[in-house]
Amino acid sequence: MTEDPNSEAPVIEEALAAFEFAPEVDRGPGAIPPPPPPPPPAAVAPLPPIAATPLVTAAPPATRTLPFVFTGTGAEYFRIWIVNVVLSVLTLGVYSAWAKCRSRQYFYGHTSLDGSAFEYLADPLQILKGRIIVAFILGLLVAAEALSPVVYLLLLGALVLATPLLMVSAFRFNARNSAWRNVRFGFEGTVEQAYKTYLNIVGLSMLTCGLAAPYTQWLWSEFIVGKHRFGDETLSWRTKANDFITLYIYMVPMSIALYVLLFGGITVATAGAQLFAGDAAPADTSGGAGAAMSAMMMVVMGLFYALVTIPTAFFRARMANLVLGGIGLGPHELRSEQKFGELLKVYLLNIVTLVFSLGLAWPWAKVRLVAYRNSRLSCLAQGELVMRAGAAHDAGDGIGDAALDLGDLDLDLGF
Amino acid sequence: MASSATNHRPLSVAGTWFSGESTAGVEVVLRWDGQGSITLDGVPGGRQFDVATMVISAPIGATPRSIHFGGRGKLRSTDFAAVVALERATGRGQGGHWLDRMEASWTLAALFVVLLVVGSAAGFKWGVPWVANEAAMALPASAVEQIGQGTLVLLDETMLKPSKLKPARQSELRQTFAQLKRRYDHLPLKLLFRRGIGPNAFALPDGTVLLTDELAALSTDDRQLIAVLAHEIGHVHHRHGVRMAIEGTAVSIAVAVFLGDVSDLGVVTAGMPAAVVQAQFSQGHETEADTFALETLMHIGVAPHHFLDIMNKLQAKAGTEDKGVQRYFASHPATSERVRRFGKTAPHTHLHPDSM
Repeated sequence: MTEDPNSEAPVIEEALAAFEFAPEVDRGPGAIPPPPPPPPPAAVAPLPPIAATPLVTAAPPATRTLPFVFTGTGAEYFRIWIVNVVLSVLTLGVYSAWAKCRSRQYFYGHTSLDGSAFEYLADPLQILKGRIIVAFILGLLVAAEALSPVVYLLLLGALVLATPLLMVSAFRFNARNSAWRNVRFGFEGTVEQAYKTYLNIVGLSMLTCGLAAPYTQWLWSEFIVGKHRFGDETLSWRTKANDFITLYIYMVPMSIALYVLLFGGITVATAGAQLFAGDAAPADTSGGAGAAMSAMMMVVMGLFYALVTIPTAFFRARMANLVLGGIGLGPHELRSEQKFGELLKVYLLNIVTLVFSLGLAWPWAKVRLVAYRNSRLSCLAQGELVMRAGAAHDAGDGIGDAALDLGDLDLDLGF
Repeated sequence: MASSATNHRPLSVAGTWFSGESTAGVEVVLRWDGQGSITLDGVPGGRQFDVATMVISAPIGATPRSIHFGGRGKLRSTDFAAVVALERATGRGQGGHWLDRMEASWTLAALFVVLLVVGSAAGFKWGVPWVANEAAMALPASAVEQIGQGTLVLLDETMLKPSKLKPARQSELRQTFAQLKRRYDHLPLKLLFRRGIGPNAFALPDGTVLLTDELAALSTDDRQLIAVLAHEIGHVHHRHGVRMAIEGTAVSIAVAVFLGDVSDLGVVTAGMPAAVVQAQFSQGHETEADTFALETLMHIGVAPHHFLDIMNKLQAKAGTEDKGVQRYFASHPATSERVRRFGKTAPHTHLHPDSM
């Protein structure tokens, strides 16, 4: 239900958030996470000397690798999170809008590039508005589901039809409220473009029975990334459809191996348990047979979740590298170099952390993941560059936007 | 405010000034003269602002603070102590310090953890079932009927097939059902026959009770079927169908609120806690319906062991029982537990079971 927040660059996170609306078609197998969009570019080298604020310097461009630096800690975020959870519950969810803002502000504020932190600027009231709309829609769906299957299906259909609209609205909201060095991001995709892309995806998926997933996911990512801008500069995206297709091809043997291991494991475990249990009465839950069986089941389930994490980590690391690493802004480029093994380690540590803390250590898990993603993200800057805000700065308040301005519609509760 | 400000010790804050025109930043020192004027030292040409236009962002953790003056430019500073001093002296903060203080306190965090754990345990034990029950009982009969009919149509189209029981047998069972029905005049009970899903019986919220041919065939005594039907009427009586829907929603919301997007952390087990809690509610309902059936059987003079008998038959048919961990995901209590309840009660009945 919730989106993840904070990924590398905050903005990216936004897009991630917005991705929650992505139709099934864009989801890869194995519930892959959404592709992210654009991060910020630009680097104002160590603050220019007074009076030196021209936009383009004549100096020969020197290539510098600027890392994304994440400075948040689990301990600090834990206290924000627990306050968020408790106040949200006590206020029956109203505070969740503020919770989301504070959570985002925390992660953005602790993510910096070239010495400057990102900034999340959303007005909690706007988020609350979005929340109320979402709650209303969900309420309608729940009521319809219980009362009339026909009305429910109609509503569901309407929601599917409205998906591109809702997504564009969410992208705009999130991009507009993300800034770096006092220059905002923006999303320029129009509702028509979103519908066109969406229809292409739906059509292709139906024609190919879903086999076009790598391509359709690429189409959608290209739309999202390519329509984001920072200041007055639109992001570019070097990643090709072939890169996505290659990644999916890698996933095929991995998934097959996983299933073989899984079913083999279950068969062996069951046989083992029966062997061990001997002829103990089958209905006797308290006996040794029950205990052995249940221990075996535990092991198999543990194994299952550990196994599923492997392809997930592989896919997500590669996908992040493709999506983020392909982003360019003017002459500057992002590099994402997440490693499968490293991400898997983060995932497994997080599972252990969450299981043993019954979920209470969630903030540490999240910080660990965000820190890892950032540690593998950098910006290849060509010389001193200064990005202009341009007229686009205020576009978020334009007329065309007003009708779309539904506030923040994603379901991220801000923890 | 600016003009009426009382004299104050001048303050300064170091930071970076971003004009908002571009990402170019300038290291500056913001100086407040202790009265109404703010100057930025370091900005080409210098900038001067009225303190009354100053807005200082709310603090959050150790993230940079922002100060702006209504225009596009903005000062970003990590000179936290200086910003707080300026905020206190000028009163130009946006508040939020109480939140920041809460978020900084480990004592409060510990207290909140306890509150959260105790609160959610109590909420799920008593709160959610109570609310679900009240809401289900408050639902108008017409709505309940809608739900039941809608479900029936859906089931008929997907899983269920028309019954092949002989009409004579059907009317025999209907008469048996009528016996039970008489005791619950307030419930719009109706018995329907279907087949296709194995030996089973279930109740829809509107009082429609479905019995499968397979179950009728499995039973060796109609009193066994009466026992099952009594159990199903118990579900109708307690409006379990509607309560289940409400409880299910409550559980998913709670899990989402508490855990956020766990799946993003690489934890694919996100659905597990929800499934466990949901199953506990379901088991609670079954136990309630069992109690209801037990009371009904005793009232109409049917020995409780008939329920036990049919349970055992179903169990034998289904194979071994869920064990260990799986128990927690099961929708029904363990048959052995249910059998124990009925077995225990039997000796206390005034009707002596004929075969015990």
